[in-house]
Amino acid sequence: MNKFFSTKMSIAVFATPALLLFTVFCVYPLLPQLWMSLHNHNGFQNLGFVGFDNYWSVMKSSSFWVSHRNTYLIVAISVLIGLPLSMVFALFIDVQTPRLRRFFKSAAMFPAILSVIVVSQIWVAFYEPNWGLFNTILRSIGLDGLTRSWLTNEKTVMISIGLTFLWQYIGLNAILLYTGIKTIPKNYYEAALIDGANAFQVSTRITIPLLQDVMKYVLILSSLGSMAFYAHVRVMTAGGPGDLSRTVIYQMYYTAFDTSQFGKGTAIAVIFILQCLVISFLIQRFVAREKVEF
Amino acid sequence: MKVVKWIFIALVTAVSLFPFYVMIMMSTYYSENIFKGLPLSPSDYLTENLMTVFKTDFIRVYANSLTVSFAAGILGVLTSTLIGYAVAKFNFKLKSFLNYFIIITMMVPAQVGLIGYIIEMRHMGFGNTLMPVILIWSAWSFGAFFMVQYIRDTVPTEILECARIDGASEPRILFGIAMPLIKPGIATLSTLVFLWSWNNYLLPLVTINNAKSFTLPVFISTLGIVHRTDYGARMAALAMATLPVLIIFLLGSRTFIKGITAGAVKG
Repeated sequence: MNKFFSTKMSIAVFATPALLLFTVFCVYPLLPQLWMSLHNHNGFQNLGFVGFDNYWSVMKSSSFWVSHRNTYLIVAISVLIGLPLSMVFALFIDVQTPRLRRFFKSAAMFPAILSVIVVSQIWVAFYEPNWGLFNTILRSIGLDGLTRSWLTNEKTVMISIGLTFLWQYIGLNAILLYTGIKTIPKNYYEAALIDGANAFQVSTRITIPLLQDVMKYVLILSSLGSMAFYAHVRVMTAGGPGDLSRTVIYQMYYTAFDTSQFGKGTAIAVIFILQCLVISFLIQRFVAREKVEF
Repeated sequence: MKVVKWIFIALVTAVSLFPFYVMIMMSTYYSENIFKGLPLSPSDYLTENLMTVFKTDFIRVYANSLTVSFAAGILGVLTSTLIGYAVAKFNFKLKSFLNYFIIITMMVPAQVGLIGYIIEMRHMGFGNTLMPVILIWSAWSFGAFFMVQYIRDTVPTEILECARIDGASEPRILFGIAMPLIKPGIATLSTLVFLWSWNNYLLPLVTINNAKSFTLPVFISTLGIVHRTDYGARMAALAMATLPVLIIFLLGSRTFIKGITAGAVKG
């Protein structure tokens, strides 16, 4: 009896601190945001209840929709372009000799450990129109017509920032996928090879289907990571030209802190939280639902 | 075939390391000379740039960043490990609730709750201190999620049961038996908190207005703004700020890479 009690006690002791801290620092802050979004608030004082006015007025502004387009563009880039590239890279790492494998893994991790500030600053230099890396390369191979001011051109700005983001995290995702590949029993491959399958067939029929758990994990991490996309934009373009490279998080902070409209800023936050929940629900529900077993 | 392979290796190396190389090169230039072309070979202005950096509050800022990352690491790993152990290895009424709670908090990026968090910090009297940047890691849902998975997969329940039958107390079971088994997971998690809190930009940017409590990313992004944007000095500062991350990475990359997918891979 005494032992049972002590086990119960220990569960409480182990779980309570985290539960308490999560409630205080993750969940509780959402409540004042919800309250604020219904008020005209300048960050220091409440100027009156306005109901859903903040919601209607943020949804009427064009910046709101521009920022959504940009955020989802980044999500699309990292999921539709980034993940397949990571997958190819992971499959490639898998067939190397151990020594090269170690090299590729380190090279792949490297960009991900650098600070966003470091990465963004350097890429700003690459995109510089007069002497930057990209325009220099284009000029030296005679494609002068393609040179442009990448970060101030409204057509290229988001793609350029997206490329930087891709560069930073493709390797990390590749490593996650590769670690998954390693757990697939080798005798599956041997059986397939005896049956005369080629490398491509092995990848598409065995490796990828068996990798669903890891893929789901990587998909969740990278889509939510892109939803929170902010720092690269802040350092590389400060949202410009105009509001054309703002993401939702950027727009939220800009509205709250730079224009002192906390009511509207928190309204954006509430709308965005709902979107995040819907997306993660969709991933949980529809991606990799059934386990593949041989 | 061999040639293709080596070309590919060279390409990967260039793509992943080139920006880092450029940063080091830039830090050896006089700021105004950087803009005459992409610097590919070193210049002679490194010492001056370092002097410029050290004339500022760089050392204090560096100490701030180290304080934040170590405190965040200890707090984050401790709370994550405790709740991870409780959820993974005990059966109790709230278990599945706790599991969902962790997953849902992980699904909402912390950035969207920051306005409320900042106001809460102000009310607690922590505005303009390092506390907001540290405390956020004590409620680190990814860490908790990771630990639940990791402990579930690596610690056999039978061993814990045996110890319990032998009369070992719960804290002893955790620290004496479970801990040694989950050391690699703890190493991975510590590396992650260190990296992420060290590189964190948004949170210190919006919570800390007092230059005394600046951390490296915020400090560097304001460096040289007073009279002119000193890119040379800024790059030198960035290079130095990258150093601890680099050391940790070189020392621990093997364990780190091994542990990182533990949450996803069920072996």
